[in-house]
Amino acid sequence: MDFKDYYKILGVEPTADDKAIKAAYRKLARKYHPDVSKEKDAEAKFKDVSEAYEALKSADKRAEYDDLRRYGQHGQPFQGPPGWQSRGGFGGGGQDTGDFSDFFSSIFGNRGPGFGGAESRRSSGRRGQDVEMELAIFLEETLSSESKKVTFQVPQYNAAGQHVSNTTKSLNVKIPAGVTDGERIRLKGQGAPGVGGGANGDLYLTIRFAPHPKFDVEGENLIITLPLAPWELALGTEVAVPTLTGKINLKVPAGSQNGQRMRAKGHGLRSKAGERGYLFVQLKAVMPKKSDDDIKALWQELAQKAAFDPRENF
Amino acid sequence: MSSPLIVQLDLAEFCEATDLSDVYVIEIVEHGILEPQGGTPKDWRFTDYELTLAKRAAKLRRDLELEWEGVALALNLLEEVQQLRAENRMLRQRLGRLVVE
Repeated sequence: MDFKDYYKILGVEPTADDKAIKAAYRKLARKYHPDVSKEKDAEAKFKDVSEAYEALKSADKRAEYDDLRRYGQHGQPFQGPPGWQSRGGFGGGGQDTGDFSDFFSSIFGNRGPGFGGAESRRSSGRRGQDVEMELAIFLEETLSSESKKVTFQVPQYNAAGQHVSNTTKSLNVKIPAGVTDGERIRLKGQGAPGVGGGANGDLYLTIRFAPHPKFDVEGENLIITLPLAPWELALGTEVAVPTLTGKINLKVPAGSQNGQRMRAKGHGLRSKAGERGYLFVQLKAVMPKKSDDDIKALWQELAQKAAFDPRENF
Repeated sequence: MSSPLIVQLDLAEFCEATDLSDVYVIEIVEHGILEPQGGTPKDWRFTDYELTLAKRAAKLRRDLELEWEGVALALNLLEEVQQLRAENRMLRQRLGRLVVE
């Protein structure tokens, strides 16, 4: 068990007054709140900050902590002064410390803020925690209902409500056809088990589309970028264009523009109503990497004969 | 193809799934953060999506010591940020296919 310097975590001096501690906590809580933050390890940092504030916000806890602080150094193993007795593992006043560290409960026992409070339902037992996770799926998998194996960590709590470990759980989840990026799927009762007769928590999956090497997603439609030689744009051509499930033959008309979009109905993603969106094919002119003198001469001939000024309205 | 399954919850089920009291949920609705169908609390029907929203609202309010107005604003902005990030991600991916290195 390592010592935690709560002043250091909040970035305040050990002499800071309550107001400064509160301000520092609020600022860091906003910065690292897992629902708000994009920072790496936001959740762990948020927990650290909450724990630090919990220890320092009341005068008696702070005094108790200040006494011990003389015997510890941040990040170093902590054993306390001679004769000091850790309180970890002894039940407190019916509340729990949630996910606070062993270090915190060794000092304060189970006198944490707990999950309860004004907002909570008072029922028998405590409901298990919900588990949230992202599930990456390939675009191909959204066309039909697919079963996917989902593996996730379920937190385990002891009777006193302390987080003791995680267990790994696997489920086969049916992903409905037509799911969208960011959509949430709730699996009732698949979260952490309830304590003392409380209901199980739920599992929430947030669907994330894995980036596709060829297709981009625009609502129900897909976009593919089709490379063409300049003369293919000029003269027209027929090209086999990949779709999510196979290939289609696309006729590019003569005189097509670079960047122009053509659309193929029914080759996009599946909507909730079961219909397929469009596949947009965006034409992209690609120049040959090198050209010898013969080719150069041909371009020169074209330049003279075409007498075209693309910057007429520039 | 069958129509997608839409899960609806009444107030009691909603409270159980979010572990929030009914008084608290009513407060969230009064601030326009949740918009259940139905006129009175006993007729209210919530969607799955609103479960996440309610839990997130309760957490933001508690963790950041916000007023409900602040929670509502934060949720709106977070939603917008998320949409913008998704759009940005998609446009960058598009751009990557058009720009020549």
